[in-house]
Amino acid sequence: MKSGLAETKQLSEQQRLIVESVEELCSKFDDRYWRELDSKGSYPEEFLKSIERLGLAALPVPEEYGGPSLGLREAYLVLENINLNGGNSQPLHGQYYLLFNLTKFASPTLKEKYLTRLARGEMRLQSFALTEPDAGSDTTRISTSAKKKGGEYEINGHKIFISRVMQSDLMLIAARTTPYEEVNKKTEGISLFLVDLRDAISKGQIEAKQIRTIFNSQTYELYIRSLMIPEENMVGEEGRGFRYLLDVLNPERILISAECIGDAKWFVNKCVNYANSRVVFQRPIGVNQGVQFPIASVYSELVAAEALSWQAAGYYDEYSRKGRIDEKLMGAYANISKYLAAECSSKAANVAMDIFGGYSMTRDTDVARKMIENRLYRVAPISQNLVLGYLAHSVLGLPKSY
Amino acid sequence: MPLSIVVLVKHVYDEGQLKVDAATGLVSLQGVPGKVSTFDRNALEAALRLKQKFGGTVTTLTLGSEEANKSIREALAMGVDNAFLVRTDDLLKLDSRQVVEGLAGGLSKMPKWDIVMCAEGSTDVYSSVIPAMLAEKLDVPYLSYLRSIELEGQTLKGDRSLEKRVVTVECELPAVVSVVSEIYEPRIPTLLQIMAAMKKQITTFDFRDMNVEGEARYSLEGMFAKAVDRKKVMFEGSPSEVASKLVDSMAKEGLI
Repeated sequence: MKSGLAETKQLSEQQRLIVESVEELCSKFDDRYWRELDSKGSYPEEFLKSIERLGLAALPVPEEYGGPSLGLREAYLVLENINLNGGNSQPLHGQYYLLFNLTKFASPTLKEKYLTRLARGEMRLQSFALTEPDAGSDTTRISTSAKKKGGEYEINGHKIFISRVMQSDLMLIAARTTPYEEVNKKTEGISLFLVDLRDAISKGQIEAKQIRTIFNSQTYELYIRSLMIPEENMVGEEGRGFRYLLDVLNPERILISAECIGDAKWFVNKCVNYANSRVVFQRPIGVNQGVQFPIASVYSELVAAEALSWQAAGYYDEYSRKGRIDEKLMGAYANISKYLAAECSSKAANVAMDIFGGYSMTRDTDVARKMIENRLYRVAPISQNLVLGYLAHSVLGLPKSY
Repeated sequence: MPLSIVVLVKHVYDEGQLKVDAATGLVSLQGVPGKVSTFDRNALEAALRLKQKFGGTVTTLTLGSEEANKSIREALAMGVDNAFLVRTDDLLKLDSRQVVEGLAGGLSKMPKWDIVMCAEGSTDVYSSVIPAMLAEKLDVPYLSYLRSIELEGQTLKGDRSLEKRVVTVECELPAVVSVVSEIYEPRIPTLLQIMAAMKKQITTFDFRDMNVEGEARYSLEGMFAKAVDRKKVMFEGSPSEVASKLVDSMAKEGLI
């Protein structure tokens, strides 16, 4: 492995070859590439095109639609290795969990309509419109509405922090087909639709305002006015969207873990190399235990977090194929993975900031860039506290706090 | 006529991960992972491009241990059709003659070929003698160090880089060819190619069945790191003065 850190996961021959392809691709997109994108706030278009050419963007698409039909573990490896090699795999994780969802719940007509083109890398599905200004993490409170009108649904509402709306061709949107006040259980009445973004934007049915962020991301606030969606573009059954959402959110959390693990390894590598080469007081700073221990400590945490998240991805792959996922166990696995991986990667980022001293503040070391990119995962897609709240309530049986 | 190209692929120790004992200078191979010899990927690319243009098959031939299957699988993922391994656990104990005879033995058991494509050398020992010796053993022409390849009918043509000039050479097929790494940048296997590679067969022969006679005429006694003393020249002055001093000094050393 090029990173210098030993691979602790037991990879199959095929998985090893996938990692090698990703590593080789990343060697053509070096730190300078990502640094320049970061300074301009640009989407990694050229990198994504290469990813699509290699078929990596279509990884979960089933064989019958021309895809490789690979699982969450392979997706994990792709994301981990992009981040471990200094890149940011964020655009790709959206595509992965949305494809897993579409593959599982979309009707054969809808799959036929889009999956073949997604498999060929001709289209992008990287956008997911869930969050609303007044709903936040309380998903059941979304108020974007979808009303049936003949063979179509009319969607109206307001969404925020919706990524890659201008860079993607398709977007999955969550809307209420039955208002919150009219359902028996608050998780009922939400439906998912696949939106042809280019069409909707050109017709003015979606207005996207870019939100300025402190790191390189393309995220938008959406005003949705009379967005007309053909009924065949509904994913799964009407009103059961929350159930399908859970299936998006769990793999998403595992994929976020993979990115965090990749980041954590990048920070550890960066620290080890710097501590070995930076000479102060006539000796490398790495001889000091004050420098060694934080690196060693966070490294041990990353190996543990990696083991759990890799196991979580394996559980998803094995049991979703059999159609027998234990939702409670899956939820615990996915949430704990994300929690531990985000904890250790943000800790690794801080260790790197300390060890690089004044140089951590310079753009050319990339430490600050990676730190800010990684910082997001303490608050998104779910905050660390909300994970703890979920574990306390759903896994440990303590009273519900939310 | 569809072409049949055989590419020699070697599984080597990853030179980037060799460990050197600071006191003795001895290179330890203990725990050093293997990888495909880097230049072989350029040769594979050259073969795959010929196949794309003229049709036919690309096959690899490897001499090495079971461990070499890792490198072979990488070649299969690049788009190679078939692979053959002449298995031996003692590659480092063989001399060049034995290696060549082992490879020739493998070739004799494989389907008829038009071109044996080799890299300019392997990234571990870089003796660069195998293609020439193999051509002699097979009694076919050898075009060495090509930086371009063309095929017209049965005539293989290419430019060969020499120190101060380039010569164009040609020969009739069948032939052995070696290519320099600049010839083409190797392709990265796509996901579907990787999956297809997992289903391809690797045919294994035993080195002992290759009728290689006699003992090795030389043996590897040990590997030592070559110590290179750095000159550590410091220049002083303004940036433009330092720049011209640097250029003068490099010119004096024959570096530019």
